[in-house]
Order: sequence, then C-alpha cells, then structure tokens
Amino acid sequence: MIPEFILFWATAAVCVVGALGVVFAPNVVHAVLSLLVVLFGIAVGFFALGSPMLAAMQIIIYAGAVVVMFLFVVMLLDITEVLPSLGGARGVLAVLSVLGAVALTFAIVAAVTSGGLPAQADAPGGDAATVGWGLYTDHVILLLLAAILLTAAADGVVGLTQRRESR
Amino acid sequence: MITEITTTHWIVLAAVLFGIGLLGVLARRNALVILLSVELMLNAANLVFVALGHHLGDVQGQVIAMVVMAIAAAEATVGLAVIVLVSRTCRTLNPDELTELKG
Repeated sequence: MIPEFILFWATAAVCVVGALGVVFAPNVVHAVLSLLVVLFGIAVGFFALGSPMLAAMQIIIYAGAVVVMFLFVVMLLDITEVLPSLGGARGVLAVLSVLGAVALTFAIVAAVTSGGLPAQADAPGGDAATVGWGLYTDHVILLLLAAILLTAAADGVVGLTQRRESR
Repeated sequence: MITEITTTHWIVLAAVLFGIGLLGVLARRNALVILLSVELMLNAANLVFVALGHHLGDVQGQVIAMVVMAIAAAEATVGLAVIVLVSRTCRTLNPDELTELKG
C-alpha cells in the first residue's frame, strides 16, 4: 500500500507537468497527449479520494472517447504551429485572470479550513451503487437534463458537419 | 504539510491546474488548443467537486462531477465540429483572424 502523501505528490507532479505540456507544447499532437497524461493523473486523484467509479469513468470517457476525438480532428486539419504569445494587453489580462483564480482558491481553502465545512469520518464509498443511487433518486433531474443535452449535441453535430450535396 | 495530505492539498492542486488552463485559453492562438485548455479547466473543477464531496462525506460531489463530465463531452463534440467547419470555410484556426461576424 502506497502512503497517501507519496500518491498525492506523484499525482500532483504528473498533473502539473502534463498541464504545462498542454499549454506550452508547440506541436498540437503533443498537447493532446499531454492532456491525456493530466486526465490519467486526475483519475488517480479520484481514486485516492475514494471514488473508484469516477476514476474508471474518467479513463473510459476522456481517454477512450474525448482524447481520441481530439486526435482525429488534429489529423483531419492541417494545423499551423502557433506558439503562445503573452505580449501587451493580453499578457496583463492573463496575469490578472490567473491571480483571480489564485484568490478564488484561497477563498475556498479559507472556507474549508475555518471550520465552516466540518469533515465527516463515515464518508460513503464511491462505488457504482452509491453514486448510482444518488444519481437516480435525488438528482434524477440532472440525469435527464444530461441525457437531453447529449442527444441535442449529437444531433447538432451531425447537422453541422454533413456536407450538403445540392447547393 | 508534506506528509499529511488534507482536502486543501487537493483543492490547491485543482486550482493550479485551473490557472494553467486559464493561461492556455488566454495565451494560445489556436482554437484547438484553447478547447484542450477548457477541458483542463473543467477537470480541475471536477477535482474540487470530488475533493469536497469526500471532505463532507457526501455523494453529491461525485454525482455533480459525473454531470460535469457529460457536459464536457457535449462541449468537446460541438466545439470540435465548429472547429472543423471553421477551418474548412476560413482556412485558419486563429481566433484573432476570425472576424467574419464583425458588423
């Protein structure tokens, strides 16, 4: 059994290196593969946080479907390599936005550590039965909305991308 | 702090990932990489949901994270379709050059 702190720091290192690869890789294929690394790291994080169900779904949905879709689109298009540019007003905006994200983090951390959110020892497991029970009873409206959204997205994409023969 | 891992550690990790993703959205000039960075930000948000659900001993965090996954999949599908169409009609993927809708 790996100690939890080794698991966390290894996951954090893999995730951050992968995320930097997504943003700074000049080749788009490398960026997509770096995103795959981050997604696997986050799946490990889900597992460490007691939700093996979500970890499995993360790997199946993201690595199995979304990243493969990205790779297909990269192969479809000829992508000119554009390196990150952070000059002028855009750089100021980027720095301000990242600082805002950091401030938001400190707000959440303060809310967690100030005792506003008490931790519970008897956390329920994250197996398929527990998550499924929550999804199909208390949050069934979210499930229905997600189903409608996915159907609409699939229909819309088919309608968008099919070539019309007669102009 | 190093050897004792708390919920705060996971939230800070998620925030770092979110910040890197935000930097990618703002700095890169390629619509595909911007979409990749948005996926990164959505995953960071998911990590916060799961970490706080674990902290509070509530399964709601995982349920919401699952719904966010569905939304992210729909967003990626539609975004990629739009990118394919844009590159087919405008011959570029740089968002700064796409000014067709400007009045």
